[in-house]
Amino acid sequence: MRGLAALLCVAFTIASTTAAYAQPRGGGGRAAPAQRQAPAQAQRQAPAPAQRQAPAPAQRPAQAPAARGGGFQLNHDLAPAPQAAAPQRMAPPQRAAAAPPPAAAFQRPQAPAVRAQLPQPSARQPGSPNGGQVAVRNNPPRQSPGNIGAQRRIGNPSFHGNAWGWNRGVAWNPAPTYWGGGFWGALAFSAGAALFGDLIASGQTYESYAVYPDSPGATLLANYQLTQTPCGPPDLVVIWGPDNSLICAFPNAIVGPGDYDVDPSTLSLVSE
Amino acid sequence: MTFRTLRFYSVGALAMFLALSSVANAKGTVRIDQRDGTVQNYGGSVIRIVGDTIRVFSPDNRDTLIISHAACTYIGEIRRCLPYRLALRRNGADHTIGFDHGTVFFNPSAAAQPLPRSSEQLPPNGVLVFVRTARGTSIAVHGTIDKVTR
Repeated sequence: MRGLAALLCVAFTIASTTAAYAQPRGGGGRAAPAQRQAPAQAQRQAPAPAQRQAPAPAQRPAQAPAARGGGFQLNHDLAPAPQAAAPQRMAPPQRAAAAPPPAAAFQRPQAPAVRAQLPQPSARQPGSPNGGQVAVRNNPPRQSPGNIGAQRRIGNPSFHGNAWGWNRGVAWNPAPTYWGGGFWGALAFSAGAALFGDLIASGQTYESYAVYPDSPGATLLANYQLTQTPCGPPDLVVIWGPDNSLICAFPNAIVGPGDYDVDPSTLSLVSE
Repeated sequence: MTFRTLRFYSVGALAMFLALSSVANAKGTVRIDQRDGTVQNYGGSVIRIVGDTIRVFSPDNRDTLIISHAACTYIGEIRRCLPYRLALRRNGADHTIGFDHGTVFFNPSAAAQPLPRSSEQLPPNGVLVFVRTARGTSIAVHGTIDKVTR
């Protein structure tokens, strides 16, 4: 009788295990049959031509391994990517002052000719968060800030911990396929976004976009009780973030007007 | 005596069944939306975190989708990452996939957590991945992490 009970239990266990591992969809390692979406949905999924690269030519990847026997159906993406598909990232951010030419070593750095770019009515509607969509692009490398005074750190009013303490000790590193490395949110370079003003400094135009909620940049603004505003008008708080990104905010009792760098490790502002 | 023994074995079998079921449930589903509108669904994909990468195994264990290099921040208890590298490991070789953008949500806590600005919740060890490739293919992964390896 005991043997029969043990046999029953083993049979039950084997049956249960088999049932648990049976996959209702895509079982056996094969993908579920491809489903053709409704035309309307397919059209919705097609990226806007103005924001995406040109459609890849309908060619079969030459060296892509076939997935006929299973695996993920990503052969189309394994083909050599077109040139336009690569993320448009400029050279790593380089401050001109980091490696000055020898001849300029003894020259006093010139203050960048930062001037206010008053919002002009145009098709792009700069400065309007609800304006037309423009392709997100990286800003050119920033010129050296001409401040000859000592930098002043404004400690984060809401955070006084160690480096990366605001991120539970996890170091944050910029992701190059997003504007500002993702510091201001998940704004990909391939996407379109509403321009949030721009700034002209040293003959270069630096574009700004809206900060995403829940991003590190949004946390920074909230900690300093700053409110983002389109760049352009004078006497704003200009915050230079990772990868030559910048945003502007109204000054307040904590942060006065001027240019500031972000120290991502402590999520603090450093005046220039 | 006989019935007691039978009950003992039954309880043991049930415990084993539950343990095996929970292991089997620590999996996820992958949905791949091709640019031409076709869709592939894969059930029973094992999802693992190895270091700073998320690895999603195809149900037949033939392919591994490797999502890596991400800028990660915490939103409450949820860890949100912006990845920027994608590769497919097939036959032991890594094939880079042109990457466009994506977001990864991971709940490392022991309790279900609400997704940011959403009514949805992510279960403990739950993971949610949305990735769009440079060729316009959308990859969505959701499930629970099978194993975390530092």
